[in-house]
Amino acid sequence: MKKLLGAAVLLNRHTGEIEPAQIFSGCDDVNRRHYEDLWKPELERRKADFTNWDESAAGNAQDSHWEWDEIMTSTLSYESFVIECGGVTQGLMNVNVATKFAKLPPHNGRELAYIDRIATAPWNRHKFTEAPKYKGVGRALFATSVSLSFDLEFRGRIGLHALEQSETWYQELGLTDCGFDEAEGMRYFEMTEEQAIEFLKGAEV
Amino acid sequence: MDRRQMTLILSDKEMEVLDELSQRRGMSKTALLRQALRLYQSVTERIERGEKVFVEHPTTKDKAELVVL
Repeated sequence: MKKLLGAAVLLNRHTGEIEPAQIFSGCDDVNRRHYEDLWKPELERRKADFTNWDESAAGNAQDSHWEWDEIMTSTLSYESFVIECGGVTQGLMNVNVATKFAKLPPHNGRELAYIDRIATAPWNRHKFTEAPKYKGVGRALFATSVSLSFDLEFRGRIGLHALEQSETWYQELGLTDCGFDEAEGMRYFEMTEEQAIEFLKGAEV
Repeated sequence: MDRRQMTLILSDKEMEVLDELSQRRGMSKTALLRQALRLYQSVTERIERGEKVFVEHPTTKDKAELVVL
């Protein structure tokens, strides 16, 4: 069930104005339609510019094969979030809250919120389009995952495997690069409780 | 999150385990039970799909299959 969680703001780079956005837990048919009708054609068009998945990182399109309708499940293991601005779905996130555990000390082996998928709309992406529209979608969704982690008593712990195009961004958010994970074929990043607190302090400024 | 309340009756032994686990995991008893429910649903669904769930010994790499009846 889709439910309003709270408000956020995004910078419209085209106008220079700050615009109100809404963050929801869960998604509905409107979000699914936005993805199918607005996101997917753009992603597939961009994907066609590259011969393989590795190369598509250069166009910020390595997620073009994600099927959000299948990803957004209704089990207790996953929490899904959307962010809307201007009446359009600007970002999607799916978080595994059941079957992933921290690797970094001192709380290795403890529960964490694992960001299974996170994406901003194609028109907001650098390297995807010459004039990306909204700035702040990914950070707003990431902050939501940190809040979720505290809410579930996981103490802000976050884990994720990063697409190549996003590795630098996660380092900037304060996560620790735990190295290349052969099993997933991607680098694994993790945020500890201390890093989560620092991240939230920064978000208050 | 919408929440509903229920009364849970546990044996002394079950309550001891709940107390101990909540301390070891650094979570309240409520959070721990909610997490247990998530895990149990995940395991049950995977097994119902025909998947197998294993636990692996860290050094010998021996695997034991987890079976949910």
